[in-house]
Amino acid sequence: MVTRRGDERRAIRRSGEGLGKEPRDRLELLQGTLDVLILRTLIFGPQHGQGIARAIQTTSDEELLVEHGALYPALQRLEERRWISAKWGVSANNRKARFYGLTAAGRKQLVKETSKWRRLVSAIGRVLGPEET
Amino acid sequence: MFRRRLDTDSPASRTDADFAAEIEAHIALEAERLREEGLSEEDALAAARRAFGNTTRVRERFYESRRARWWEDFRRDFRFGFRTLRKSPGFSVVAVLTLALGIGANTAIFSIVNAVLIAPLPFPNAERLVMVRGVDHGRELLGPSPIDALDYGRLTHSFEMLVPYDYWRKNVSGIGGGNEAQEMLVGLVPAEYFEALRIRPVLGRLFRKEENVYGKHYVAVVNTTFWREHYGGRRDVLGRTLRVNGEPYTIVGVVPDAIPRWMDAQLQLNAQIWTPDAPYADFFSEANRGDRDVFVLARMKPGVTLAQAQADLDVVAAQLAARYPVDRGIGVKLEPLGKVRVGPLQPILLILSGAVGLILLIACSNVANLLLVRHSGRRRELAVRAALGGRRGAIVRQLTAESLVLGLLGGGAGVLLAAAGTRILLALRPPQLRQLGEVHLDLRVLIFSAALSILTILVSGLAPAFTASKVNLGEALKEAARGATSGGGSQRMRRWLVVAETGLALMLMVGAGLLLRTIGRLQSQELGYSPDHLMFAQFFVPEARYPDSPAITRFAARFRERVAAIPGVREATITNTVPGTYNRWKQYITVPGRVVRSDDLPRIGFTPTDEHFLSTCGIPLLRGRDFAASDREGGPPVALITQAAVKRFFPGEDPIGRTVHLGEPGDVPPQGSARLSADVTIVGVVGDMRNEGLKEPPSPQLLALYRQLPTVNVGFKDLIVRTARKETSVAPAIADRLRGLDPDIPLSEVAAVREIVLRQTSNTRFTTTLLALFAALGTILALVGVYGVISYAVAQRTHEIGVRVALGARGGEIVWLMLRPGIVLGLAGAVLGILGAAAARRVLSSLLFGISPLDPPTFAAAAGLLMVAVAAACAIPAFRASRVDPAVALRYE
Repeated sequence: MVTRRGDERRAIRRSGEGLGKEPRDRLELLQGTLDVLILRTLIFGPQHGQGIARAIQTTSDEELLVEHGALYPALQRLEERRWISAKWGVSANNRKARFYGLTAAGRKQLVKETSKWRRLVSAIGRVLGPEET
Repeated sequence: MFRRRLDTDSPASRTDADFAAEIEAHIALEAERLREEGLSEEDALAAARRAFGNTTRVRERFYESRRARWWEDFRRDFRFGFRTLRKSPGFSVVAVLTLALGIGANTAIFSIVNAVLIAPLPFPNAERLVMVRGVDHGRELLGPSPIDALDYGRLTHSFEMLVPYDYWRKNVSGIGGGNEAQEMLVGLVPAEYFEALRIRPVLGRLFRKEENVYGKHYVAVVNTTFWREHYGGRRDVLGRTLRVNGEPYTIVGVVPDAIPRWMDAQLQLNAQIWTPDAPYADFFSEANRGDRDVFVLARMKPGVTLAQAQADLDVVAAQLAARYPVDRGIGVKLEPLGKVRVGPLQPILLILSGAVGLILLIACSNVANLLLVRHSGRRRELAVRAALGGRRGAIVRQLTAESLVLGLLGGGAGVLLAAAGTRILLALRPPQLRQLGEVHLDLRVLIFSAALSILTILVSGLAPAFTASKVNLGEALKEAARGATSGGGSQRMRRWLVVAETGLALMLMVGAGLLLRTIGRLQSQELGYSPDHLMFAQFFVPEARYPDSPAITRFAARFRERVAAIPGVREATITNTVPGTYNRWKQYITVPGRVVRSDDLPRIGFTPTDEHFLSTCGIPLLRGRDFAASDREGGPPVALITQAAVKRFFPGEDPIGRTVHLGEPGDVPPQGSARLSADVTIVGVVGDMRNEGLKEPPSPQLLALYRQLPTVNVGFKDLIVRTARKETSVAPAIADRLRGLDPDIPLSEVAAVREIVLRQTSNTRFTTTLLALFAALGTILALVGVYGVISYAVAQRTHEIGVRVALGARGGEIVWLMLRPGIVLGLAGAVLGILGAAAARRVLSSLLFGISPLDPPTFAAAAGLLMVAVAAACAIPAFRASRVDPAVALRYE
């Protein structure tokens, strides 16, 4: 697991380079965040891998960059844990793609993870104190 | 519980290709989006690929992720184990070698067990095949009589077939068109013999019913090997002729080599030729009812149990006994084919399995011991890992993986060792253990060794791993800092292991010692003569050209004269008995004036011979006279009897000049192919010979001249020659003389008489050799264990020893200080071993002779030897300790 998470971080850095953003601008994803982001993205309905990658990038105002390749091991992992399920379908512009959807267990997991994240973020925020700008 | 929707694909069964297709779809979608943003076709595709990253890497990870997680962990631990073992080659080599010896010895013995007990019998529905053995008052006979066997088949209902058959040694010539005569074992069988075994001819046919009649029996089938070797596997073998005992037989069929060597193993030879079961005209006649020496194979009907078949036969045997006086007390015993296959190996295998089991235990404790030392040397490393949050399970798993590597290496080396060992073992095997000819390493053996390796690892690796993982962090780190490496717990465990090892080794030594003493007893048995410088050979004078007793006598006498004239030959006799071996030829004897019970007729061992027997063999004449040339053919028959016969039949009387009747007395009609009814006059008393084999006391024996008893002057003759040089050196000259007299009569079974007598102990010698080997192996392993514990203790106490030496302790004191714990361990092991050997005494008792399984001298000698060896193993590190330089020792850390 350690190696996988390392790859994830590396993936995000490299995708930043790839799309022309300066490396120092990147936001490093904390361990396990990709999973919760994927789950969150799927709450609006089934989506294929490229769509998920796009959605994460646009909804985070391009702050979070995902190397598209790194998405798939994460999808695979979520699928094995039965949090998402997949089937082949046809995209809006009539291309074949594999669509991922949230399962009931995935929905529960998302709720759990989200509240955990919010608690973590606010705790860290309290420790760091009010923003100094 | 939540289940996936049915219309989704299962992640577990997803293929690589499917995953690759998804990646391609992704890139296509992304490229399309980029095109919509205004990039050119080419740039869009390139950018999409760039954004995706390395597709091969992603696909690899997909591939890997589908493998089970434990396999990943296992591989990592395995690689790590392999690396750490490579870093300490000394430990690894000793441990792997120890395991290899234990697993190898067990694999070798299991390959025998597999061949004779586990592997399926080579015939269809073999569980229904049985051998029918003859029994006389509960004692096993050579077999039932031919006509009794026919009656068993006719009157019982449990058998699909019940087939009497036989094997005879015959002179065969004209093989492959050649001229060389050869003595061969020829099967005398009806077609049903092959049918019962479900053997079909590969060429030609089996025998027809009418060919089982004497006179129409001149047809033969041969096996595939014979066909290939002598007829090149050509179809024109059919119709060719073989001369058997001078008569031509036409080959009508070829059967596959399907009859294993253990069938009728007592024959010592493989038959390659079969002719119909018609050895002579009235073989299946009433006159032969008492001639009990045929083999009988039967196939039970489906659904019939062994007990039912036996009961069925018992009833018929009782009916026959009521009808024919000669069948009184005669019964049968069924022996399933599986039991036939094990034969005399059963007790031997039990002993050897026990022995290799003990060796494996010793090897396990040794490896456990080594691992304990190794782990305790790594306490600091393990403690650091535990301190950094390594879970106990993970530590145990990693240590187990290390022993797993050891086990696999040891197991692999063990199988190689077993392959070599089995070959050596087969080379050592006595020829009569024909079962061992079928032994080889097969898949079942390999599975056994693999399972054994894993078991060994678990036994020897798990306990040390748990002990090691139970580290008290603070203690371990402190201890480690001081350089002391052994916790009290593991040290105690190691001592116990060494005690167990020496005890097990002592059990093996006691077993080997008892068998050695048994052999000593057997080989020092008084034979009644000296077998040195005596050579034995066999020949057969065929009826076709030597039809009557005078012709046989003439031939034998001429042959004997020519043999006696060979330089280097001192004396020669033509006879039927090798003194010192079991003599199966018995005759009924009636002593006039002595009342006998009709169900217990006296019988006497019988030797039809010429007049040179005593002088050739060196058997002493005690009273009266020896045979002489003047005891002519046709004259009044004379006889010599042994002392045992005097004791039994003439207690307190002088037998010289008395006349006894040989042959069936009273109401019993004369029996057998050699029908004897004659009065013989006793002219001399000779020393006893061991005519019941080495293990039994001599029984009464009578010697007579075959030339005076025409009905027992048969064509089977033995030649015994007293030589001046090495026994068999004159054999070629003798064979040459025989060829000169009759080129169709071969000389066979040439051997030194001493060898023939010793053959009786060969099973015991074989077992002893192996057990001694295993005892040596076990002892060496145990000594390695003792040595390890003591030298480890010395290494640990170097500092203390240095202090003692600095304070004035002398070398002798230091030696004793280090030797004492070793001797205590050895003594404890000896006590344990003596108790163990006493508890296991039943295992050996069936092979022992003339010695108690609790024989105190053997126990004492084995224990003494063990103690000396243990002391020697301890002495080396102890002396090393005494030479410690205090200056070095105190700086040691």
